[in-house]
Amino acid sequence: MFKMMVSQGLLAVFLSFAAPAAADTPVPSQADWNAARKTVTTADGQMLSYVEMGAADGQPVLLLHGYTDNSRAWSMLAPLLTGRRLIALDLRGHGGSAAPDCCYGLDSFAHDVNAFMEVMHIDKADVVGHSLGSMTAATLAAYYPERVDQLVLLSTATNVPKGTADWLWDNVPKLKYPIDPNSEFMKAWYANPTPVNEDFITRERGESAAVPAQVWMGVLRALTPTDWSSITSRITAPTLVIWGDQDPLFDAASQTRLKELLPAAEYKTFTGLGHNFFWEQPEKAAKEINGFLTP
Amino acid sequence: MVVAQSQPAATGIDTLAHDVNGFMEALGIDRADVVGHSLGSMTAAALAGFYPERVDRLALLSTAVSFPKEAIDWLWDNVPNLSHPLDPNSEFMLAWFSNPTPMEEDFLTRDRAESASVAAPVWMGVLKAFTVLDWSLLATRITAPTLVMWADQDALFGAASQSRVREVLPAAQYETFPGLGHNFIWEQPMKAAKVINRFLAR
Repeated sequence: MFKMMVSQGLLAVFLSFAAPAAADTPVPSQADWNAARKTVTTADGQMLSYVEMGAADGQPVLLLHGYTDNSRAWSMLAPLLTGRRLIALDLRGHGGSAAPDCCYGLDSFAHDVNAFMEVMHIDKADVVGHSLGSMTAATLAAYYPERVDQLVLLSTATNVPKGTADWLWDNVPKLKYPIDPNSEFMKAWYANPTPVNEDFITRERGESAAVPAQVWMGVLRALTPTDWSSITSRITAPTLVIWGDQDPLFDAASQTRLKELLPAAEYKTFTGLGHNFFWEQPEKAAKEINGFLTP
Repeated sequence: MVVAQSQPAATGIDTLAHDVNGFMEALGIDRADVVGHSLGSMTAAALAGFYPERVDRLALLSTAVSFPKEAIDWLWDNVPNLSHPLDPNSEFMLAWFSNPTPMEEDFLTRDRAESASVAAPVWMGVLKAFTVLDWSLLATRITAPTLVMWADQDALFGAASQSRVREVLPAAQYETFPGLGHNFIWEQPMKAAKVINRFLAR
């Protein structure tokens, strides 16, 4: 008995030295976000920046931001997404990624994500996308299904509703560069129905204002004739769709359409929150996402 | 282990129109009349909608706002299964180039062979782009005088598809060719030219 206890004790001591636990990578502060960026170049020469956070040996989760946002968009949600290796990518043209003259459609974005995963040696990941990033995530799940485990679509729609497209076409082509982050349009673009951390949103809006013209216009031109409802039937990844009912960009009709096209997905609506509900209530959003992503 | 495939990343009409804009820039052509057939017509529409300063008059031949389900399903049933290099005389290629009425054989044989030599990534890239295409919102931005020509035996874009075009381009002129197909400009070039010349005449 004593011999067994000793050998078990020795075994425990041996094991604790044999395999050191991988360290967690902390979520950078707002001030440190840019310095935390790393870069890779994909096989076809697109430079992409990203921020890596969380459990280094956890299941990978790719985080894809929205139109004119950047990886910082995930800074308040990331600390709450438990037990995973989080990789917040800057889509081409955004954040620290290269901004070529062309092209900014869902085909290019999904192609880049596939190529990014290749160069990072990530075979498969859970993918969480917001707005444009959610459309990219859905395109990836449809056209590169081998890349996607579980799919989370935040503030998504299968096409840009006419009212939203009209508003963007009324404003985006008239933008003067450099864009004033405190202009009427930029304040409207970053408006939210409930308060959002001031430090975060001031920085995010400033970085959005620094996005170059070819990206502002490139995305708008690419999205205008895009409707991905035909590829929803190709999505086999288990899917969670979350929407804030005060979303001024994607209306209730767009969500009804989505439910018809993705009947097997799980749906969550946040009452009183807007397009950027995970900035308004990161804890609420994290609870839903953590509950959905299987350990 | 996933093998990376070499595919052109961007094959949507926004990209193709961007190319045309750049092409005109490179050739020093400020403005032009633009005549497009099928994918070319959708590209022409995107050019007119996004780069209106480039387009005088616009002629859209065998166009559609989005791909009808039957057409896109047929393409998905066939195109991913094609083995390259393609045989220009395979069942699929003969179907792809079939027409309700006869045409110049020399031209058709050469065109079909050149189509067969288009690389797999382009076949797939354009198919994927077609699948997520609906340019009805773009149509409202087109101000160029527009002619829409369609033939009623078009096996890809049927009558319902053409009705949708009429809804989104109410101010366009319409010309329909009875008994001809998707490639009516090959079946009856003189008939097509007469209409186009009249439209482009100053």
